[in-house]
Amino acid sequence: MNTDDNGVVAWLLQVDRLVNVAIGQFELIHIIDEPDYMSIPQSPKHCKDVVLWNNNIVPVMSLVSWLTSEIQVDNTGVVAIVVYEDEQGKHKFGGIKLSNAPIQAKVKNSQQCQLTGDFDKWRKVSLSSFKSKTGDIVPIIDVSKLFSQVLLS
Amino acid sequence: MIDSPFKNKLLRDDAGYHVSTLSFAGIELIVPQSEVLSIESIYELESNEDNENYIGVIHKQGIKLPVYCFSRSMDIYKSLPEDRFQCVVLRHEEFLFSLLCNEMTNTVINEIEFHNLPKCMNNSLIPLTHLCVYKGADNMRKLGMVTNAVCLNEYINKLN
Repeated sequence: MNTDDNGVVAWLLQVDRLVNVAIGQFELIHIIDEPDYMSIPQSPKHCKDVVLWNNNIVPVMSLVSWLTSEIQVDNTGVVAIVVYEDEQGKHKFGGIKLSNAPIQAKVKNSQQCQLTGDFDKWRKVSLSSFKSKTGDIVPIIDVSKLFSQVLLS
Repeated sequence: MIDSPFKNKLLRDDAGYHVSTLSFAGIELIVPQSEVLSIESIYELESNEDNENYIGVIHKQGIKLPVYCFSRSMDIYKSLPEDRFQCVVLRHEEFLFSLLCNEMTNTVINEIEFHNLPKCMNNSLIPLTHLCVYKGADNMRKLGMVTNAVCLNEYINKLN
């Protein structure tokens, strides 16, 4: 993330009405509005679909499905295309289903907080977390980890 | 993108790659054309009396072949959907079996790139060898799901 005197610039991703996550400023590279999904048979509930973007086959994560263990049937939102490095240091692309377009925010060190209670599950894919201005806990996603095999176990 | 060993199973000539597309329940599977032996009518299907995973059998070359029927998520269907009319006979290395399809089409694809399944969704149950990006007849790039008879048979055995 890009630091300045006022804190760190991040993208806030609304994965559903009540859940926001954050990623680094340069990790978000594109937004697709209501893409054409191709569902992969027998794939995990949290990652059932791929989309074609810039000639890349991009797996699309549903964090809602991961949290609820239910298949997310509403495909009317947007998909954030993110970039990350795999274990070999190669650039890869992933998609995250969102209910709204991402917004930018500045996050200060003083906003840092712990992932507790209902947010415990996020530890698996989070670098850290902070409290938003409205008091909500926002996990900062480790994008490489999210698109590794960590959610399969 | 990978240089897929699967390419070896696709007959390639000056026209392009020869593939068959199996359509059912709203999905399409791309298989090597060389692995499709024939298409038999649904009227040849004898219903399955026992408790196995196949929906019925057809007779081909004097042998009873199991016919499998899948849903969109490739779970086993045990009752016959109204919209499937074709038993597509696939040639495994050691035997034959059949899939119940809406339609089977043979296509020659000029440009196709094979990709491994993304790591984050990969599990041993997915009945695909690869995903692909190919140029359709309308010259638009499309996503495809690639499999073959060996992969499908392994998948069916895991469901048993």
